[in-house]
Amino acid sequence: MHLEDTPLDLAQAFANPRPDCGATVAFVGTVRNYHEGQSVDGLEYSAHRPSAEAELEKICTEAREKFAIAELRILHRLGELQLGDSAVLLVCQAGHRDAAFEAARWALETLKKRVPIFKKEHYTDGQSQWLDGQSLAETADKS
Amino acid sequence: MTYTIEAFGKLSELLPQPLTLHTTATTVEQLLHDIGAQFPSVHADMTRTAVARGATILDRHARLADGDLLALIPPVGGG
Repeated sequence: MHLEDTPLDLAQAFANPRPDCGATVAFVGTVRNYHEGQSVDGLEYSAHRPSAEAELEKICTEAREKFAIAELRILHRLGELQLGDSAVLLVCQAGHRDAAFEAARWALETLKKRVPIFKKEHYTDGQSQWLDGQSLAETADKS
Repeated sequence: MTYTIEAFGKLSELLPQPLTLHTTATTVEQLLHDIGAQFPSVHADMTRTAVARGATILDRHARLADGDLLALIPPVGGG
């Protein structure tokens, strides 16, 4: 499972390091207090769970095929998040650091383009807005 | 044809939830056109909306079956 309704457990994500891996790269995306000139008060993430879980698993599989890594774990938080909360956690283990860095970066950028997760920002002035990212309709038509 | 439609992201605030749609549409493209025609508040969004059946994102020419449970997927914003 990649989607979490409760705070992400960073310690758990680092449990059981592999003895054949000399590099562990971790990325934690946290809720920032500004976006494009607006003062952000919090975020709300929702997802179409069946396709989001499937796509996150597919990204992990593709990363293992594309890069010389041993493990990639991705967790994404859903629900209401406050400033500083962890929104996404990505942990990549590899024999060497280059592959771990490259795979982690690729996986995060791919997640942003392909996974049916939706973000609503809440601003300090009381307004809210759904953020407009990649359209999966365009992706589906090309595949 | 009758479809049960669940909307996500911004569309969840603009469409009835869940939405049962009776229509002659038999493809994703026709379904999105019908939804846009019936609900003007989402008309402009339909060109960038995807449709999922289960865990699969369908292309616009995919054929639908009577009774399908479908999800409307607006542009994504994870991470």
